[in-house]
Amino acid sequence: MTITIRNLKRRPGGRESVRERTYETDEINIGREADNDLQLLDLRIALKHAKLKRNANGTASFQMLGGQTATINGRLKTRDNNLKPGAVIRIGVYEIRIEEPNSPDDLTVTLEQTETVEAAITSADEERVFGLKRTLPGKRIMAWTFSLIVLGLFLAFPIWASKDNHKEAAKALPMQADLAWNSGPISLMHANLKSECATCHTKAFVPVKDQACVECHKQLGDHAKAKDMRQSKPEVSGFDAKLNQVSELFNRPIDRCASCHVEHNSRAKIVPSNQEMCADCHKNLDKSLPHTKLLNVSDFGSDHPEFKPSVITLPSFTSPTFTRISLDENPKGYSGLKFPHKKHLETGGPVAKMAGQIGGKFSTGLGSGVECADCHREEAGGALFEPVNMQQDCAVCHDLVFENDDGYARTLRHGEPDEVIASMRDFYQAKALGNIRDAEMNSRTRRRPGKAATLRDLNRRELAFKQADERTAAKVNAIFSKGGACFDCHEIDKPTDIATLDFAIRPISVNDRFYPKSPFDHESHKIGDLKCETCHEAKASKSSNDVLLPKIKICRDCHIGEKSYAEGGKLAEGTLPSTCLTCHTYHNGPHAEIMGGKTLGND
Amino acid sequence: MAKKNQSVAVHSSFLAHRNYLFLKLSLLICFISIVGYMWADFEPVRNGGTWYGYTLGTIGALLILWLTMLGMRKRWITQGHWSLKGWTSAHIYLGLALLIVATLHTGFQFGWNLHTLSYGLMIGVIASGLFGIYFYATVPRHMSNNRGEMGQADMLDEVENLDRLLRETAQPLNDKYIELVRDSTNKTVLGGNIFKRLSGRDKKCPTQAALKFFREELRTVDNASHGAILDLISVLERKNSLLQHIRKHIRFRALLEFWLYFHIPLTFALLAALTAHIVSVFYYS
Repeated sequence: MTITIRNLKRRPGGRESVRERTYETDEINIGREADNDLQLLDLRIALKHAKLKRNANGTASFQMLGGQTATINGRLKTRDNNLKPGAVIRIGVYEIRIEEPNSPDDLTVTLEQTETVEAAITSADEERVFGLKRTLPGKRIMAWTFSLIVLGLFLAFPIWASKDNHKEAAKALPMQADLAWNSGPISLMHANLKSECATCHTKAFVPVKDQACVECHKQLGDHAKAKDMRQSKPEVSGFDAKLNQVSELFNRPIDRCASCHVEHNSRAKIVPSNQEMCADCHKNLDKSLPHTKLLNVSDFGSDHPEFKPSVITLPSFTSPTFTRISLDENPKGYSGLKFPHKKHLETGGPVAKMAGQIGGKFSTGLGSGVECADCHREEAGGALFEPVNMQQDCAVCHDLVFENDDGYARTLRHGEPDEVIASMRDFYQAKALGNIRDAEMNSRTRRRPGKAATLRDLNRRELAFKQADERTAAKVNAIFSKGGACFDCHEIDKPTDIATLDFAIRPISVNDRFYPKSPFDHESHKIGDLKCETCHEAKASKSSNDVLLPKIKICRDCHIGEKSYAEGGKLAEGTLPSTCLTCHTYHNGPHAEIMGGKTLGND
Repeated sequence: MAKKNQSVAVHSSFLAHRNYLFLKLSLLICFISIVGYMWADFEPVRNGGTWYGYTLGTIGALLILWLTMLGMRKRWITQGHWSLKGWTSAHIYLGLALLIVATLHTGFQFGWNLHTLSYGLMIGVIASGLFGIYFYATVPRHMSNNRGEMGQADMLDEVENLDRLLRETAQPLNDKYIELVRDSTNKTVLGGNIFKRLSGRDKKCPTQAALKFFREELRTVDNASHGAILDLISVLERKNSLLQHIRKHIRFRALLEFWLYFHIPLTFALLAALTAHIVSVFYYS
């Protein structure tokens, strides 16, 4: 028994070629695998796809293996056992037709590839269906696009604009080229420079130099002599020294302006105020800088010397002598004035009684006395006080009346001792003249004319003027002596012969600023129940020489130092940590010169 | 629990690689960075320009460069401790550590500038990477369950095969049915735009429409066509079920790849911004 396969191929032009192969069997295997009797190359055909059998009755049976399918006579089948000549089986691209047998023992089928085998599914097909490549713009093109946009806008554009020959063109653009380079808001003080980066960043890749700062800050003083500052700086070692080395390596020496004044950190003040910056040098000044008069200090609360106010030790109308004396040494200041605060502030004392009678601004109640504010008026802003003024503050009690004449009080002018003396002399001489005139006009005292009478008149006039001079001398002496109007408040230089009227007021200098380098702000201390006497012991002071400034102990009732606070110092209600800069300044210090365009730390 | 241990012994995931070595390394880096941040003395405020800021910035920039090299590394095939899986594991954990290092580098100073842009791009890269981690950890299992033993090419082959069968089974049918079959073979779309791919289904699938139609039709059709339509329905059912699997597979592939379309371009934008950032801070130093 045989099975004959006629392999039919149609050539171009309609010619057919048939190759016949006869198998000496009644069953052949069909599939893609090479060991099949009939190997059909199409990926849709399984390796072992089907069996073709010749039945005993001459019909054919087509049997699928492993659930494969084929279309038999147009119907999808998994098996067919009785295929007569004319039946058509289709698997994959092939058509198998059952033919009339060549002989009774034979089964003849024609095999024809009716369609071309489509190319196998390629990985490109797979990617097209399953991958995202065709769906989205390519990753590479997006990467390049984004990168070039970023590099162009944020690198090339600002660099282009920073070149000298492009500056004009860049300015004309609506957008600031290097705006995006700003690493943080600039401090308020420099806000006018926010779009002028090149004002400070003068050269590319060179850190901001001090020259850029002093270009504007011409009048700024250095802190101290550069040599002294170098000498007092603590030795840096270990990690910090390495950090400094690295900093120098990047062209950033550690004593630049910008070392302390760090810009583009809006949250931070551009003026650093941490205590360590001062204490680093000032805590050991006695060792590091033996010639200095400055005392060691490291913390206001725990390590700060007693205050040393500038007190006047020699008053002068033009240039009084100031000396800094520690409050521990109970300093005396000499203003040239006599003013016992105790007497004036005492309740129930003579001053208080007088004040009660006067009324006006002193009339705080009969006998209740004078208050600080009656004489010490705040200056505008409230930091300090206006100078006490004789006319305004003293004259209401201390009037300068020297004579009551014809119901008029004759008053002297304050502040001009020579004029005072002249006024008094003029007054008494005028009085003498008046007396002479009165005598000559009076008929009872008028004499008969004659030589003797003329002589008597002459004597009388001389006598009157002599008496006037004597009176003047006595009166002037009286006001410049104990109990007199001038003497009450002033120190007097008396002449040996009072007839010369050569009296003089000693110079007076009232100290209006005891701490010229660390001005104290009274206004900001108007808190809680603080009163003048909380700090100033004026009520007990019997002499104007007393320096009525509070000692540091009083300040420490409220103020503790940064270090004491950090170390767990109390911060009860009303206490606050204070740094050095609360009272002191760094530049324009007491021992520095104006830099005048020089850079910091250079001699 | 026992099962889990077993699976770790046989195949540890990229996350658990070498007993979470790189997770531990990254946690150490984060810990040291945070402690240093607390300890280091900054004046006047913490920012990228202090010595510690520069240190963190340098570490961060080197990390970014190394992380970017995964793209090169994955093209070289090697094994062992520095296997691609090892690199991926390190890439993930060190990339997450970068989040801490770079954030501390900023000193929490942000603004509308190039520097924050760089930071934002980095956040974008890390965030898209997080999606990647999630999908790589969860999707492959579903993907494998979905496609069984079938490869992608097998699926497409099978579609073609079924299309041929459809054409063949449709031969005896009335002309009025042919259009539907042709729609199924010619107009069934696999893939489509990104949203279709991510949805994993196609509501307007012509195959499904045809299947629905023929099932209805079966009730009223005459005996002559009954058998042929039954055959057709069985093929359509096979195709419909295959399409569902394919669409699920497309969805999984999209999930596995989609995040990379953010991760990679943003990475290169970040490299550009980082370059500009570094040049700018020294240009105006």
